[in-house]
Amino acid sequence: MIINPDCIAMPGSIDSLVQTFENSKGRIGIVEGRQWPFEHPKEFKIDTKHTPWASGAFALISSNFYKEVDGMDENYFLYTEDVDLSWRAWLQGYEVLYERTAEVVHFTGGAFYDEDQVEVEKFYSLRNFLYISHKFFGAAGLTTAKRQMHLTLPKQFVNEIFRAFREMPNRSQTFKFGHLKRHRQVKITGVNLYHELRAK
Amino acid sequence: MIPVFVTDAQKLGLEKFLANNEDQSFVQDFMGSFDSAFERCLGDQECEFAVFASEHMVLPRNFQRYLSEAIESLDYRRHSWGAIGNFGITPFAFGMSHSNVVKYRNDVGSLVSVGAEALPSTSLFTDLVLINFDALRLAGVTTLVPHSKKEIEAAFAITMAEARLGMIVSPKLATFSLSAREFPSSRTFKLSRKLEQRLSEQSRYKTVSTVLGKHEITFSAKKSILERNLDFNQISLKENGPHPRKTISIVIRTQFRDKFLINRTIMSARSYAAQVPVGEIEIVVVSDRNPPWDIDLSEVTYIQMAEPEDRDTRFLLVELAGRKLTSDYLWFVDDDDWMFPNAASLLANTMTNLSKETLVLIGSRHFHERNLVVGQDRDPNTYQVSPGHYFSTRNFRLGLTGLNQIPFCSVLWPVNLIRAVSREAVDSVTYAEDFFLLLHGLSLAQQVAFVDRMFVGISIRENGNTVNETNRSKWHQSSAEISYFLSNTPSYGKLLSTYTREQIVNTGSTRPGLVRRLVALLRDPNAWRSARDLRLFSRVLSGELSPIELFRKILLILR
Repeated sequence: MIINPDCIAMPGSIDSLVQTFENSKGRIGIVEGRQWPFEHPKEFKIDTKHTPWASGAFALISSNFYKEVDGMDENYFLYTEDVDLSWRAWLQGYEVLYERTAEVVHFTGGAFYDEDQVEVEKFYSLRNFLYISHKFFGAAGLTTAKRQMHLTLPKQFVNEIFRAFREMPNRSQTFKFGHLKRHRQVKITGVNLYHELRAK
Repeated sequence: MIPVFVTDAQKLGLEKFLANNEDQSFVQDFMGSFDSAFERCLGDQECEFAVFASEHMVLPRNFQRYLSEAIESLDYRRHSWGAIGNFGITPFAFGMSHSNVVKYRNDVGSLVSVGAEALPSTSLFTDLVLINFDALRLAGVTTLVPHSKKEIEAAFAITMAEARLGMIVSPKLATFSLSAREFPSSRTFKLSRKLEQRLSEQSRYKTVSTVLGKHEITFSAKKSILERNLDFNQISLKENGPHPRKTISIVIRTQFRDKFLINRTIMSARSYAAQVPVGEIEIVVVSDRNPPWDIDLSEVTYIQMAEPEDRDTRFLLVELAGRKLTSDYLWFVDDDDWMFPNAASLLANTMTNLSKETLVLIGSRHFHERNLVVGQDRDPNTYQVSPGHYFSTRNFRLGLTGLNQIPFCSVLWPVNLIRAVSREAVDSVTYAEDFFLLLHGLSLAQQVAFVDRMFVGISIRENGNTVNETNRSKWHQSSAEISYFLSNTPSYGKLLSTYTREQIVNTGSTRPGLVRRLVALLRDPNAWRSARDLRLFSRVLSGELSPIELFRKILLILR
């Protein structure tokens, strides 16, 4: 189980993650808990609990799966590494679940930043957005990501992100999909947005 | 005797200064720029402090004594501050004008802006400034950062910030100025390329303000964002602290109606307390009944009313807390609110910059907690929370129009202010005691400070909130009681006569501004005015409420 240092697990939340893991019939890679009071605006299915990606703030991860995919990609350092792990789970035939009864208090930093401040979180997230776009969608994915960033962010800032991306070790690696060429749970919907819409 | 250098003055300027100032014994025979005076003092190991004044400044006769008092008041932090001025920008808003600009000087255009507080400053006008050269030398300052003549204030602020030295705007340096200088808050001031580059390599902000105006910062590729840590606000709050740290009691009023919610509130208070030095935060639960066994009251001070009362006890519990507790400040929260620990150190640092008689208003936000499935009570599978209206301290004056714009949990009360409430008011006002107390606090507080950040989350649910009660008779009764006390308490009259609803709502005077404000008034979920039904429609327009939910609520109202 992984949990952020700024999270407080509510009573019963860890039991709930474990129970979901044990009771599920599928091949489970990750079970993610729910964050409160800033709930992730994410896509999930109420009946199957399927979600395209699980936040690393509070999640139970199958050690078999974790070993099989050789753990986290250390190139990220922080931010987006959880999306990467989730996508690799789906692509390797594991399920990623969202368990709403496992509640964790997470006073996420993003809600407290000044609007005109470039936070380290924003910086890493955007740099890693380029990396994940390239890793999963190849050169075409990287081109699209760069174009989107140019459209939405100040030029100087974008240049700085590009520079940081160029300095990343192993930035050129792309994920080998194996027998899967496409997966409906692996999708980017905008700059640093991955399946942002909640399923009704 | 602290030397005074009349800077940027030629012979005529110096003569003008001498003609306008009776006591001239401390004026140095110096004609030169601010920069040359700065370097001369910095190079002179004997020069501990010096005042730089422009020719248009008229000093009080006892200026030397006032300077000594200003220095003595900061003596325990002698090497953490670099300069004291009388006109600057504070990192938080202050005074009834809710302004970040503090001016302790009269001039031909206006009077001093507030009174009686030494406050941290992120930037000072340098036409009157006391510089702590001893601290500058210790911090390794060798010169001012390179600048053009017109941007001296920006260069001075950057030099101090780079040295991590605080600046203070102090009433002890109050003067009269023959030049009416203003703070151009809305003006963008373009810095020279060199200075802007220096800022852009160190700041994570896209805009930085000094007394010269707003400076837009472009991103420089020379230094990584991760290495940029020059934050004027943070430095001024951390390095100054002209006042001692404060103790705060977080007081949770409860009748233990919902175990889940009260436990959640206590848990967040514990998390909040863990972010500041031990002993600064006391968690208090105050109630009119016995606590159930399954409420975790460890590390909590529990206060219970001696006798059960056959009336609404919320005001009585406030009065009881004021009588029993000894912290500098009381922070009342409801038993379904929560505090954000992320913001704890910011508030604690800000409080060290205020006297303990200052009423402190902070930001808070509504969070709508609701079940997606009708009829179920907090089923984790269907329960949803979403951020709602943010109560900015900027709107606090709307409270003087009858709208409660500052929720009760958004006020940190000097304990003496709570003790000063009359017993008759406590006995008469039941609902809306928070609104009454806010008016009481604004009337009697020595000063008011505002930290416009989100510190508290307020739970809004479909039931269980008195603010949602459909029967408004108790609210109306309280309004009548409040009306009596406001009209019959002399100390309240002065405040209330300052603002009228028309003046406040029409501030800005443009039609879109008025419409915007009216919409804000209608949408305000914490107001109990007759516009309640209209607010529902405005929420539909803003997307907060679906038409079906609106229909359901109208049915509820009609019933």
